[in-house]
Amino acid sequence: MGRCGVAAILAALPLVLAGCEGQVNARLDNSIGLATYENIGMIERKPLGVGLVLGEEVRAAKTEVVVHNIRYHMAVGEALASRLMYALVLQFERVQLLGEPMLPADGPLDAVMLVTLKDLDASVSISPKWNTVATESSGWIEVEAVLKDRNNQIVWVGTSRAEAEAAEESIGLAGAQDAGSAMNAAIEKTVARLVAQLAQSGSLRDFIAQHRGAES
Amino acid sequence: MKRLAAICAVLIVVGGCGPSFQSNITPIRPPSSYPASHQQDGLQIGFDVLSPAEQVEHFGVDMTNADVVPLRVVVRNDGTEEFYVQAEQIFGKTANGDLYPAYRLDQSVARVRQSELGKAMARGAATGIIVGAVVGAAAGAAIGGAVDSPAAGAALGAATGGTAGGLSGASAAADATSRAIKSELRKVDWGNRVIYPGRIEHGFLFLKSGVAYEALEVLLYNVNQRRNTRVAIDLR
Repeated sequence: MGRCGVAAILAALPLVLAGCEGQVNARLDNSIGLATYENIGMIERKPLGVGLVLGEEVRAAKTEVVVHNIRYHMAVGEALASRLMYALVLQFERVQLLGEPMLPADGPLDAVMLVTLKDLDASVSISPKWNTVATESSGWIEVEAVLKDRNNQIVWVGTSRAEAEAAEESIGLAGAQDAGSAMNAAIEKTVARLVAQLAQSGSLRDFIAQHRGAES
Repeated sequence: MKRLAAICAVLIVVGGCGPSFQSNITPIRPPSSYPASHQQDGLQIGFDVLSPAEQVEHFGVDMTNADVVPLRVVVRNDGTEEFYVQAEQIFGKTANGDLYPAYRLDQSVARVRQSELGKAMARGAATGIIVGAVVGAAAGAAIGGAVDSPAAGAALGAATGGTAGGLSGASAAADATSRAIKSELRKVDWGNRVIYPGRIEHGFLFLKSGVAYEALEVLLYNVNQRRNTRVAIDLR
């Protein structure tokens, strides 16, 4: 084969490879991290029963990024739902995951928290280095949470948007798992910010005090 | 070789010629000093429709021809209660009472992307990528020349230095343009926000341009009092 033939094969190679797509699930944590613990402060559970409603569009939320013929899946909804649930369990005496956006007619729940995923975006860039694989990623997530009492009145609102960037270097194929690093950090930030707003809210404190007064 | 070098130089210059959409930090003022403002329960809220010159100052480009006009929102809460301000509950109001909702973020992005401004941005990005391919090919040809086979060298250069020849790269650049616009707009997008006591919040909403707005209708939710207040704020 002459030089022209070799060159033609090299030129066509990217087009051939474009038809061979791999699938990778990028790793996202389901447990909260230090930032959320810091924003919770003293772990002293508030005397309230909260039903958490995460619609199917939140629970099943995924984002996909295609890089070099590899499709990276990020199960953002599952990670977000798990971390929110965990953060709420540390905040309130009674927490239950509900399937419907309404409280059971009777029972130990006092308020319902409705969570909406407003925006989600991710990017990944992977390049080989001398002896490692360098992965740069970015993640963006925007979430809104509304707490309603039994009269369907809003007693607390939390809005949180977070962006994160990450640059990692790993050896060989392990680099593929770094694709979710930034999204992982963005989810952590957004949950931490929601938790900070729960702690900051005078309206929520008033609601809990009223509730406690009504009980006694 | 001289001709190749000249072509490369021209392409590199052309490749950097697209408009640059970038949100810059510009100062905000007390809400009450804006042309449209409102106060209640310790909350001050001010609005300012950006002129074309102010748009260039803030975003690097004038978005008027993209059917979008940025509306600056500045809120200061010196009270003791929490307020919830949703973008979807802010409307531009005309003299005959028509209410225009603000664009959602994805709508704003689509309008800017589909406008001449967005097309020029995409052309700039695509040219950059094609320049990469051509420069790669030219460099390859030069290498090929050195080994007595310019064609083979050019193909090799295009493959290695230029994202497999321009076309797929140019198509990717179109998506990259939308991403770039979205990335800049969401940094400043008002969205839905809660303004806690002691906080100053600011951002932008994006309204339809070319409409004679006379006022803004805004719904303010006082979370502590569980009370909605709809206010009309004169823009003139």
